[in-house]
Amino acid sequence: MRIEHWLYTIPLRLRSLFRRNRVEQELAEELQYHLARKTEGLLAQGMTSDDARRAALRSMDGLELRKEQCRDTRGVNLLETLLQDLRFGLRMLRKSPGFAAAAVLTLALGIGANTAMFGLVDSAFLRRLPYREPQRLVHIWTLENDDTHTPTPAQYQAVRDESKSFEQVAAQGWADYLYGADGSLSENLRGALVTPNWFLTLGVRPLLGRNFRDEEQRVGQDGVVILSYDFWQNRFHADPSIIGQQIVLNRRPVTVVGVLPIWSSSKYGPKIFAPLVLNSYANQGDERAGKVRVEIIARLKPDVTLSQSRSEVEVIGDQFRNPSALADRSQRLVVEDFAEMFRHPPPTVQNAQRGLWMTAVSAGIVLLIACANVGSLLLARGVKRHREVAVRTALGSSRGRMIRQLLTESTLLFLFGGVVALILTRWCAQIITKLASDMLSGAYLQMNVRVFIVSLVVSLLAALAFGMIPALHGSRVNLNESLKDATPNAPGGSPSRRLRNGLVAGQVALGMVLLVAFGLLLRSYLHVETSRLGYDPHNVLTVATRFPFTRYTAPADRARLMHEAAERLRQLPGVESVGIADSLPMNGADSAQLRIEAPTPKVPPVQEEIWFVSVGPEYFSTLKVPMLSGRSFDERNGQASSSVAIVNETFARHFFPGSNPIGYHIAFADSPTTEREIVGVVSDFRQRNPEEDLRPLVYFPIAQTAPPRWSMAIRVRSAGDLINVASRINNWLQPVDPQLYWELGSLEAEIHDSESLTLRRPVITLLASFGSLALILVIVGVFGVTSYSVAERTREIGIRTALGAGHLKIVGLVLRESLLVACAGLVVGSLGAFAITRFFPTAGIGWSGSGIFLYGVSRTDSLTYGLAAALLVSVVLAATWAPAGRASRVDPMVALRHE
Amino acid sequence: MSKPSDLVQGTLDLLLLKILALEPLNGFAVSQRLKQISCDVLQVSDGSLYPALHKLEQEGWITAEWKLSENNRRAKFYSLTRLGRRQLEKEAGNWNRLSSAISHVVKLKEA
Repeated sequence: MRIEHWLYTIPLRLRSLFRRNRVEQELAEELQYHLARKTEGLLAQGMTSDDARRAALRSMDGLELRKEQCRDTRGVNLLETLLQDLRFGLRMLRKSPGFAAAAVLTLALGIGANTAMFGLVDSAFLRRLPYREPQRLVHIWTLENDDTHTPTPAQYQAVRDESKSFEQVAAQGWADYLYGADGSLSENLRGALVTPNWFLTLGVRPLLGRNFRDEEQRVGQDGVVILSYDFWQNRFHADPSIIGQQIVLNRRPVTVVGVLPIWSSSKYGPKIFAPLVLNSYANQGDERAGKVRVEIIARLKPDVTLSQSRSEVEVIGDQFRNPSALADRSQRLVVEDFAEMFRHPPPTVQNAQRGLWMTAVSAGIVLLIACANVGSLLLARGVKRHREVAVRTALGSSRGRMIRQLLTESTLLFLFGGVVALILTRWCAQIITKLASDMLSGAYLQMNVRVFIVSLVVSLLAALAFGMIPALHGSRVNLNESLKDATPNAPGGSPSRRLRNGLVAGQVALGMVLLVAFGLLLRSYLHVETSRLGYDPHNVLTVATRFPFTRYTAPADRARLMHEAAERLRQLPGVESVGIADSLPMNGADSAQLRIEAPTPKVPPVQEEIWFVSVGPEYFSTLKVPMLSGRSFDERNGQASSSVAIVNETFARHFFPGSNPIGYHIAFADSPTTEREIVGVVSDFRQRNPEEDLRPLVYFPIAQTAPPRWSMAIRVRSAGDLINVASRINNWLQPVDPQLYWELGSLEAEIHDSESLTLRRPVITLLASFGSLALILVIVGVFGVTSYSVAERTREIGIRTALGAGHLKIVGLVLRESLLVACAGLVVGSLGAFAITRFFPTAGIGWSGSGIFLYGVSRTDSLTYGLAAALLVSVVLAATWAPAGRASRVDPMVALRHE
Repeated sequence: MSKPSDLVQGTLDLLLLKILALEPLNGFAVSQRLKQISCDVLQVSDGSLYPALHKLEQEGWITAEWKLSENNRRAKFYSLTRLGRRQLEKEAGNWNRLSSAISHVVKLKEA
């Protein structure tokens, strides 16, 4: 039935659409035939020919109307009038290019900001991973004593060779690279060693060049590398001819075969990927051999479920368990869904997500301001077009038809805005990706279909919301008055002005919310930057090196090297003191279960997870951290001498309330469980982030712990010595080991690069740009609306001037209106800001205590509110100034003659 | 501006379908026939006839063809389609049910 119906109707519809002239002609002919026959009949009844024709026409009840009714039955009329409206709309826009450009640009900025933010939010947390079919990707971990670890190369080989659940199993190891041919230019880089199928497993195709080949995992053929996007950008200026060229890594030439896409690069991620030669990787270093680990990823076969692969991998993992301990499930292989990482993001990611949400909301506010701007422009235009609308209504156009027409026009504007926004976003994608990836590795802005659709939907929704009011308003006409009155703006002016003022007030309110949010975050940032660190970071250089895998594998070798280096540095002119630590301030610390002797007798020791840092003798004095009691480490605390420890103030207060911890003992819960005697209490200072909560911390002599990492803090005598010493360090340390490259930094740079400042900076940069965008839009909006209302009131102002009002009085008249509107906006905005800042976090996420939250400033901070309000008021005044001046120069003669 | 004809809503469709079921006709002829067969009781204005015809055409119930009329002029002739015939049966059935129900009510004796 339906199909048969379509069989008849579809050809008819198509005919009405595409053979429109023909159909129209037939309609005219059909009605003409009827009229002719009717007229003939009437003539036969004896009417005169004129009367007969008129009577025939009358019997039709309005020929054109009937034709229109016939057209309506065709069912394509809506489409037709839409096309007609579009054509007309385009013509109208072309006739006022200034208006069109201003509106399109305003909208483009607003929609663009949102498109970009959507792209970021999409990639950061709405996203399915950028990998191909990510639901089939899994991680394989090993569980040891209930802790998740990366597996060993042998476990990788076993899974790769024995499992049947996976299409691909790939592994990644880690490597440090010294990049550059000659010592003075070299640079330490994080690298990754990957099995050739690594990128294939993920489904990542290189931006340039190719993936690794299978044969490249053999010794002798592994002289190839793939570069990360940011390394390629920074070091090779995005030169595409890098493919096939040789670069020098670890003093060995290798060939660049590929460059990865931008979204796969992250600030702390590997910069260089090389093939993993499994055997030599597993055997590197003698002592560490048992500790060599690889990350394993795998891609499930399409028909294998996660739980199937789990049971299979668990069986494969059994061979690695201690046979005597088979009963306990202390060590086994586990398979984890890739998405798990996204379901339970680590604290840094959660923090970054917070920041992204904040910026996304501010982008929304910018869009609202932009839409309000265009809304008031449309309203003003609507008043100007009053006559046109009146004439069209008089000619028989219905109100609905007028609304449709006006809406079509504004929708056109918004769609143009959306298109320009996409172009703008495309241009800025690089900068935005860079900003965002500083905050959250892996966040990227990629122009895809989703971004495109969102931009379109936002434009259309905004067009509906903000085009409707002007359309409703503009289509409402009082025919009699409009056509009679020579000045088109006299009627309807007042309600429209009220609406426009309302929109301006709304803009000011939104601007206030945005500025307050920005101000609070900026003040938090400044507080973090200047927070009491507990140590003196000025004039302190830092030096670190990475030990090559092949040498310095024994802890004693590392210790000897660092002591020699420190000794030599002390002799460098300008150096005041040198302190050694495995982890300098702002770099965090390791943690372990420590057993702490209780201060009261007969109470068993407390066991707790505690942060600890290994430091050298001069460390605290170099940082200018005072010892509160006891002594610092001295040179005697080498491996041979008795084991000692120093605790910080918070530790002492927490575990030894009211007593002196000196003389008590602490020990690691796991081996080595040597008892260490507390010999001193040191003043608190921040170890990971400038604004972190102080927590118990234990220091061990670095000579006793022999950690794998070593860094040095070098205090120089004066700021002038900083550059001097820094420039000489690498040469000065050449005699210690000519092969090593010493990475230079400073404590101030460490603070600048600390996690929380790094996280906060992009949010503040983005909010600052959105805030300035909002201010500019408010200026444009206020200027436009005030100019318009001055023009509208020319007659009134003329009369006032003629009656003796002075220039000041007129300026005051205009200023008063804007100020009133602005104040209304400020009140609403303050309330809004007050409400929205309730959602601002006031504490960090996770143990690092870092992140984006209000720090050292309350959400009702009066200074921030005051400054934001003052800024907005001055912006409003500035934007009102020119129109007010113009009003005061109105010549009463001209204004009144205007009548 | 246009008053709906005095016909019961929807009955114009039924009338037109019935008239065209008898023989294909052009618009003018339909108007004449309407007056003639209903003995001038049913007044359908010439104006509302054409939108109604076009509606039936767009629904696929009648189809149009240009032919020479009885006075040798080109005119648009409408005829019933298969779909239209089915529609006519349906509407005629509806009408019979409705009119018998109404006449039944009207004939009720007052107590």
